[in-house]
Amino acid sequence: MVKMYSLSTCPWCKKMKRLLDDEGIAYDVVDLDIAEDDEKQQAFAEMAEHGLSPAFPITIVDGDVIQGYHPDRVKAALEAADE
Amino acid sequence: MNRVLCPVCNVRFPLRDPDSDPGDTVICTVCGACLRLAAIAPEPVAERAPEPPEEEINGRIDRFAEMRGFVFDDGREIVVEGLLQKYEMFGDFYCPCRMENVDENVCPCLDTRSGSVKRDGHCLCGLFWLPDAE
Repeated sequence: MVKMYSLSTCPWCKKMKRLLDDEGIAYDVVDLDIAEDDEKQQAFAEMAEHGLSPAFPITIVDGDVIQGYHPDRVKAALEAADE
Repeated sequence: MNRVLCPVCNVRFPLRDPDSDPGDTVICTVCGACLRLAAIAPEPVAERAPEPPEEEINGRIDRFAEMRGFVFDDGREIVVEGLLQKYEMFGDFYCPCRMENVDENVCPCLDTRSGSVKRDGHCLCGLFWLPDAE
């Protein structure tokens, strides 16, 4: 399962979404700058759980957290999740 | 020399032309914003020059990059798209990579004006780059 926290305006987040789309990966995304308050609070709670600052994108692949635009690390996490 | 407060970056910069008149266009030497002099006496006052948003931000970042010796890569367009989204949604060109829509995050943001590009090779959102950065 892939989840992403992002900003709707953020270029790195757009690149990460494009990467996942190109790889044909289904993912849940929360754009925190336009999300509803309860969704926002839930996202911040989960980020706090992982000890993450609000820097985006945050991509979570089966519990493996990747903060920032790191295509190689996301692909590696996807491959590991497939095994 | 007279100094005028830039309404974009909130820094005072020197007004080089002693013969400036109200209505004249001046460029902020700190952030590259295109401004119009609203008054000269008792002290100079500047306001943002009325421009279409896309022209305003593209002109500003071009001037700022030239002033600082920064360059753009092929990711410029996607960043400018985010800046224009921020302008439409939140009323100013806030950094598209930051959640906080505050004055210091108006592009070119305080971080970028304070050395983050030299430190990291590029600014947070990847708009401004050092010429030799990868």
